[in-house]
Amino acid sequence: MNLGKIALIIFTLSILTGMGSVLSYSEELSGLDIMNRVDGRDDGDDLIQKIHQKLIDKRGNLREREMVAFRKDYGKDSKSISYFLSPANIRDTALLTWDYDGVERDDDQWLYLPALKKVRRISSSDRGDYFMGTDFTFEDIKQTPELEDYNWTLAGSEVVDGHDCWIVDGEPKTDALKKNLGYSKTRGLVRKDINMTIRTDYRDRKGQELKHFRITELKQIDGIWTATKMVMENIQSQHRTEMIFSEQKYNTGLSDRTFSERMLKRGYRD
Amino acid sequence: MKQFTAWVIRWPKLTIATITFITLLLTSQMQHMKIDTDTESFIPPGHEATLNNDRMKEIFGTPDLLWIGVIRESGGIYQSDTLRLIQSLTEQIRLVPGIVDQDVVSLSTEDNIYGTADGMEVEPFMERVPVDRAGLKKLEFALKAFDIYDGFIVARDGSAAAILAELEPQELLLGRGLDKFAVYRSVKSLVDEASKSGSEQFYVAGVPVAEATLGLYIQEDMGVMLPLVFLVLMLLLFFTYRSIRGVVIPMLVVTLSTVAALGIMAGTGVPMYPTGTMIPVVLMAIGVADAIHILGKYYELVLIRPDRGRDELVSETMAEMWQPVVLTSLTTAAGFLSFLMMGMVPLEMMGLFIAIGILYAMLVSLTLVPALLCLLPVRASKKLMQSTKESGLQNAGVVALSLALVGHWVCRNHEKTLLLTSALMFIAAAGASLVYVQDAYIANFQQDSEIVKADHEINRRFVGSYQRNILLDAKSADAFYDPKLLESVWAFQQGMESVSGVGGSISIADFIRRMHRVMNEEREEMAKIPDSPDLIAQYLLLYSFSGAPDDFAEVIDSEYRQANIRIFCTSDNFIDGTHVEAEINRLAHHYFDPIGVQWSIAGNAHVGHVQTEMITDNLRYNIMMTIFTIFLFAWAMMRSLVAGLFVMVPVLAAVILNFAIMGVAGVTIGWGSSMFTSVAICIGVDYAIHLLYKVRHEFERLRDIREALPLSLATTGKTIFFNAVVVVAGFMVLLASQMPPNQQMGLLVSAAMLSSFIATLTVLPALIMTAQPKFIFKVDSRGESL
Repeated sequence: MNLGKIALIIFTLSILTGMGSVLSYSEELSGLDIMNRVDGRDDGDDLIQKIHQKLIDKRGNLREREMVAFRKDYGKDSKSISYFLSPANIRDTALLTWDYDGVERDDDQWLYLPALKKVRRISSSDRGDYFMGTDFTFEDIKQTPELEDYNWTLAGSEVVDGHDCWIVDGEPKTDALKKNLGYSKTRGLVRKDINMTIRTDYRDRKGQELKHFRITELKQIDGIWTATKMVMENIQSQHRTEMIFSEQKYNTGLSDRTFSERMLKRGYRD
Repeated sequence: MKQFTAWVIRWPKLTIATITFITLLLTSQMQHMKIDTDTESFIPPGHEATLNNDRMKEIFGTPDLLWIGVIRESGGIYQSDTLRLIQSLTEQIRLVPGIVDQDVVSLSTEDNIYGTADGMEVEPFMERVPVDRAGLKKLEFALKAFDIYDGFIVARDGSAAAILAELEPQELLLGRGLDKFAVYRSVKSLVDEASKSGSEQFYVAGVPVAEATLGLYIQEDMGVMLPLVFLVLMLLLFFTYRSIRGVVIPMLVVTLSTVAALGIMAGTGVPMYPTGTMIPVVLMAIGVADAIHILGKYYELVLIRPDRGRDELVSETMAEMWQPVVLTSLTTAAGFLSFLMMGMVPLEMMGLFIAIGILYAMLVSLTLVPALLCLLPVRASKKLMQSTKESGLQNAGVVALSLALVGHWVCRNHEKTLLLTSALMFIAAAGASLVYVQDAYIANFQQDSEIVKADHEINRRFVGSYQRNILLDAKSADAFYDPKLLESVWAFQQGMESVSGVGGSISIADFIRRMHRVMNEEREEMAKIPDSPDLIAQYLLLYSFSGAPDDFAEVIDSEYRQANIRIFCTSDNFIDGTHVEAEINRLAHHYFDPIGVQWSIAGNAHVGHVQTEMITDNLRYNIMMTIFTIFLFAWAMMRSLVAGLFVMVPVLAAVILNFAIMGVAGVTIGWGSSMFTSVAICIGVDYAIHLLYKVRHEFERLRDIREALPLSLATTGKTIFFNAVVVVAGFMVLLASQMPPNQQMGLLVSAAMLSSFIATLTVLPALIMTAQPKFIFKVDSRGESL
């Protein structure tokens, strides 16, 4: 066999290998791939929006709160400030959070109680803690969970309300994580067209149904897909939280000063 | 009636088949039997306490807690190994199916919220178990400073820690194929496993435990007691009649009536309450009486007329016996039906189904018994036949002989007998006046049982496992942001906490005071209700940031219109409870009425208290109703007012004696002991009716009371004696019960039976001799009609 022949065989193999990978491009993504896409979705560099929270207990009793929230991304870190607008007795109560990526550094939080007229520093919360007394935990309220803490598996596809979705199962990697988060398993539906999780079902540590998360209204604002209504329902306590988002303004170039103690105390002005 | 008996005698097999078929039909219903040990079931639906309790559960969902106490006597719980154990046990309990994971509370689950120079820290009391002295001291300090938890998840003296668990609501449990028993068993086995380690002692208490265990005991009780009662009865019957039929016939009556009563109970969807255990036992004791009296008469006839044919004997037996059988059955049933006026479902159902069983026993006695006797050959003891032939019925056996002698003595000394009895009654009255009401759910268990010990240890060291809840309704939304109202709530709590028997309390005011202190650099003087309603609202918002959305749900409704003050009591006994409830009423009246806040009492301890209160109030009424019902029946059926009174006398004498025994022995009135008086009246009255019938019958024949009385005692008296022995033995079986109220009742009813048997055979003849009542002495043509 001469060199030319060898070269020819190698060349043929290389073409075949190349074509093989070309043709296999459309094969299923892994669960982690999908979650990476969700994580990488554009959600703006900063955002101002109004949030209307409805806390509804199992008897149907409603408690409502309104706030305006500012958020700005600093790479993987972010800062946010929220001012309560109603009910009247908590108006101007404000919460400032500096959220650092990873577990090495605790988040910083400051709170302003207008009736006390003092800014108080408050310790950060665990991921499994409830967010502002809603049915969402700090983990749930994030755009995406900490991807490296879960084993992600693609469990199939499903069409929901006319949209093709991936079904992605997440399982916290360790028992300690399960305890911390309060979940043994999550199953999310991710819209293939916009890489957004529109539904998640949570199971508690005993494998029992715990919570249902649903995005009930979704639209494109300034080119960014934005949930405008979502609900989290606890199946066991039958308590549920609805969140309605409005007046979104993306990428307005919020200054760093917006997220300071001084602004916390000054309150929100239209 | 004669025609009916004739029909039965002509078609014995058809009769047997019919009764068997009906009974089998009823038996098939038994599989639907449900068990109910809910503490609330004693209170009638629609009662204020039940309504308040339902409202409390609806609004606040206040659960009954499962208390797991970890006690370390030497050195207390602030030692690394004990803390590690608490942590791991807490974790295991959180994962038990049927336990609400998020609502398990112990020092390893809860967050410490405390103030710092510039803010507030929220961190777990014990993220990692401290290993050095400083860390342990710090933990102890933190818990001591957090007054909401001090005494609640750790004993105030540091000797014990508690793990508090909530069971899922009943519907959810059933949906998962679980029940309270199963959850308790899982928790208990984890605790037992943990207790193997050594230095700590573990206890599990709380209302769910008592309910679950009581449920288990009921099943076990049934399993042990029914076969025992059966065995005792069979043995006694065999020794009495020394024949198979003497055992089989009464046992058939008992079995069929018990099965029928329980079958109808299950078929109509009535659950088995703790009192339900009494139904088969009472039926066994009473159901046997009819058969014994019929057999007694039958053998009596066999002895004096051994030459007669079977059908003739049976026909004659029934002609004489159907009346007393019907009369005693109807009176006893009526007596038990008077329980329907008790107003407490478990007692009402007990009375109702005992009455149904008694009526069914009557039906069986009038049909199956004669039918069987027709099919069996005539047989009697040769020795007895011989002695009867020689010297008459009065000498047939030792029992008959002695009873005839008693009869002769009473006839001669009837005034003396009455005077002696009177003296005894006066003494007994003094003893009876010592009886008082005292009861506790925990008294359903034996003193040395694990559950009583656990209850004692946990209530000694913590705030208390018995809850009373004060529901406040301020009428307008957001009312509980008002500092004045919160001050009243706090003052009320302070007042309550100084009452003996109250271990602690929790309300929304505690959380606000805590928050105010935390936000003011932990300064002690700031542990108070702030003046500004807005600040209160902001504190509560802040507090809610650190917990679940329904964290405050147990103390305040979402409108801030209604609140729940949880008062923890260390016992559920009646006398302590009366004191605590009086204080609640006084303080609530003082603090809440002037500011127009409506209040009501709820909670398991309150419900238990109301239940006992109802027993007290009802017992007098129930005794009188039972006596009156029976008296009316006896009067109507014997067509003589005096006869009605005569029937009651031996029973009343026996009841007075028993109350005296209770008083002297220190037995108190509770739900167990309350039933015995009426049960005793119902059973004891049978004796008097049978004897009066017999005396009247014999007097009509012999026209000489001095002959009629001893003969009646020797015949019917003998049957009554056998009956009493069987009943007493039957009730004594209750001593084998694991439930003290049942033991107590067995003892009391046995004593009552024994004394009413003695009273019937002495006081009644003496009374007849002394008063010479017309219904016996003026026998005329209407004598036998009914």
